Amino acid sequence: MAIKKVRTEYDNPIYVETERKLNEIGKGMCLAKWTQVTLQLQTGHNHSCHHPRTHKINTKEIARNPSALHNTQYKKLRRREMLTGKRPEECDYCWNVEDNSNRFSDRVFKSTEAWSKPHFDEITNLDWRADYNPRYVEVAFSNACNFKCSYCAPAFSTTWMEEIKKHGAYPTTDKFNSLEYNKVEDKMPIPIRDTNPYKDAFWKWWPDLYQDLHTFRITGGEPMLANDTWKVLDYILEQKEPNKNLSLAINSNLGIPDNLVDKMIDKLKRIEDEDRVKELIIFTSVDTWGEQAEYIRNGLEFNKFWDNMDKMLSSLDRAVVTIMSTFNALSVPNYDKLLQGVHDLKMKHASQDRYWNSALFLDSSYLRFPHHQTVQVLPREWDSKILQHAQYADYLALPLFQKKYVGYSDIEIQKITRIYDWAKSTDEEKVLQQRYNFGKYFQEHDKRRGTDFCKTFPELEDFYRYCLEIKL
Amino acid sequence: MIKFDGQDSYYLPSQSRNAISLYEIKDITKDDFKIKTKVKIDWDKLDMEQRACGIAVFNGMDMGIFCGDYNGQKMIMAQIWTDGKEKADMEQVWVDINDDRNTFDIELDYQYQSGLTLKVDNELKTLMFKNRVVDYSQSMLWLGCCNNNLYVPEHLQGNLVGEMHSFQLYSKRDCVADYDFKLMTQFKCFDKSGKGNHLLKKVIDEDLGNLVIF
Repeated sequence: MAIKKVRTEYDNPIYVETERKLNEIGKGMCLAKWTQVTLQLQTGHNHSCHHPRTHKINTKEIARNPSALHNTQYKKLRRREMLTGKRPEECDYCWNVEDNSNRFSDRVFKSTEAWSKPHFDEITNLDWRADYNPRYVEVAFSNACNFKCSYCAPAFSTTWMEEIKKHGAYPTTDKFNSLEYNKVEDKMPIPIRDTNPYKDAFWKWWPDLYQDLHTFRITGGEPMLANDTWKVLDYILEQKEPNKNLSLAINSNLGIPDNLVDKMIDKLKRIEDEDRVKELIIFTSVDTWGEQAEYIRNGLEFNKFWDNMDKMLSSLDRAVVTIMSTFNALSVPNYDKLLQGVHDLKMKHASQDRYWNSALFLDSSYLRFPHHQTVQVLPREWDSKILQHAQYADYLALPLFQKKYVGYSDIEIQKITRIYDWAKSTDEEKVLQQRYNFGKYFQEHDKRRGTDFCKTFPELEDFYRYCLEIKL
Repeated sequence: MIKFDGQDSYYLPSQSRNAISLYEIKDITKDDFKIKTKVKIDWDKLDMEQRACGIAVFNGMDMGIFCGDYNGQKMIMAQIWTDGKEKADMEQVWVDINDDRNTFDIELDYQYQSGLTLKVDNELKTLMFKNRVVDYSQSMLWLGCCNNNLYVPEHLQGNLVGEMHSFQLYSKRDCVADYDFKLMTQFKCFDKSGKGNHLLKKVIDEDLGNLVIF
C-alpha cells in the first residue's frame, strides 16, 4: 500500500511548494517532460528525464520539423497524461519512490531546477500538442567509446559493440546485450561514417536551439572521441554574441589519452576566460573506489582518472565537476571510500570563484538496468550497508548550502538514502532469476575480459558462488 | 576529545534532517534511557552568573546532567521537571565534590516516569519522581551547555568550560549514540553506534539567525 505523505517543518519548503503545485495539475505532473531531453543521435532515440526508457524519433517528423527530435508524437501523448491527472507508466521510478517512502521523488527535484521552475505557468497553459524548445538538452553524437562499463551497451560503446560481435550476447536468461535486442528496439547505432538523419536534423535545429538553452550537455559514447563535440566548442568560441546564460556541460570518462584531456582543458579554459558561458560543468562517472571501480567500468584506470579530475579542477578555476555515480550491486561494499575521496577533493578545490557552491558533486543514482546488477539482487542484509553509506555522507554534510561551507549537500545525501529505500522495496520472489543472471554474467565477464570477480570483490564471493549454484 | 570554551557547544536534534537516523532523539525520553560520559570540568573558569553549567542536557525545562560551583561548593547534579499541581516542579539530586578531582565518569540512568540515578565515579544518588515528568520529545540534547538557542538569556545558556572525552546514549534496548571524538569534521562528530546520530557542532545561520539542524 502506498505511503501517505506527511510533510513537516523538516522538509525543504522549496520542494514542498513544488510538489504542491505539481499535484494541483495532476499526481503525475513533471515539468521535465517539456524542459529536458536526452538525444541519442547515434540511434535516433530520445527520452525526457533519464528514468523512462528511450523511444525512437520519427525521421519523417524531423524532416518537416527538426524540433521533433524532442517533441515527438509519443512524448506529446505522455504530456497529455500528465496534464490530465494521470501517471505515465514509463515514469515508474518516481512512483516507486513516492509510494514506498516519504521522500521527494525526482519529478519534484527536476521540476524545481532552474531550467524547469520558471516555465511552470507557460507549460501548464500550453496545449499538449504544442512544440516546446527544451531548456536542458543532453546529446550523444556517437557511440565511440574506449570503455565497456559492465552495465553499458553496444548502443553507447564501440568497444562493447566489438565484444558482442566477437563473442555474442552474455548467457543470461535475457541474453544481455544481444544485438537482437538492439534490432528489435531499433537501437542499432548508425556507423560513425554513415549519413545520420538525426545528426543532420540536430545541426539544422542548433542555431535556433542554442539561444534558448539553459543547459547543454554533451554525452556519448565518450564525447571527446566525437568530432561534433569539438564542433560545438568551436561554435561557442566563434560566436560574436554567445549565449551567456548557457550552462555548458560535457561528459567525459576522463580515461582518454592525455593529448585529448589537454585539448579539452585548453578550449574550456578559453570559453571560461572569455565569459562565453554562464557556467561550465564536467560530468564524469565512477561507481566506487579503486580496483572495484575499475572492474565495474572496464577500461578505467582509477588513479589516472582521479588525477585527471584533479587536473581539471586545478586548471579550470571556475568549472565544476559532477560525478554521476551509477550505484549498483558492486558499489555497495566500499562506497564510503568514494564518499571520503570526493569529500577530500571538495575540500582541496573549494573556492569562492567557482560557478557553483562546491567544486565537486557526487550524484548517486541507482542502476535500474540491467536488473542482474542492481542493488536489489543482493541479499537484504546488504541494505544496512547502503544506509551506512548515507549516514557517512551525512557525517560529511555541510550545514548550509553556501560557498563558505564544504561538504555533502542534502540532495547528495538524500540520493543515497533513496537507494536504500529502493533496495528495501525488493520483491524477493522476483529476484531469483536476476541472481542466476548475476552469476552467469560475471562468470562470462571474467572469461572474456580476464578479470577475477572473487579476487576483486572478496566481500561478495559467497553471494557470487551462491548465484552460480542457482538452477532455474 | 572535544573542548568547551564557554561559548561553543554541540547538540543532537530531535529529528534527523536527512532521515538517516535509525533511532531519533525525540524517542529517547519516551522510555528508559541512560547517559554515560567522561568529562573534565575546569571549575575555576565556570561562569557562575549562570544558573548551572550543562554537561548533557535536554533543553526546554532543562533535564540532564549539570555542574556548578556555588560559593566554593562544587557539585554535579541531575535535574528534571515534573508536572506539579499548579506549576512544574524541578526535582534534582547532586553529588558534592569535596576534593581536587576535575575529571569524572558520570552516568545518568533514567527510569521512565519513575526515577533516576546519578553516578559520579563511584558515588550514587537516586531520585524518585514526585509527579509525572514533562514532555521532552521536542527537546534537543545539548553537550557542553544547557541551551544555546539564540533567544535564550545568557544566564540560562549554561555554557560549560572543560572537555568531553567520551559520550554514550543508550535507549532501553541498545546504544543509540556513541562518540569518542576521534572521527570529526569541522561540523560533526561521527556516531560509532551505527544509528547515524552524528553530533552537530553549533552553527548559526547568519542570514536567518537560526540554529542550523543538518
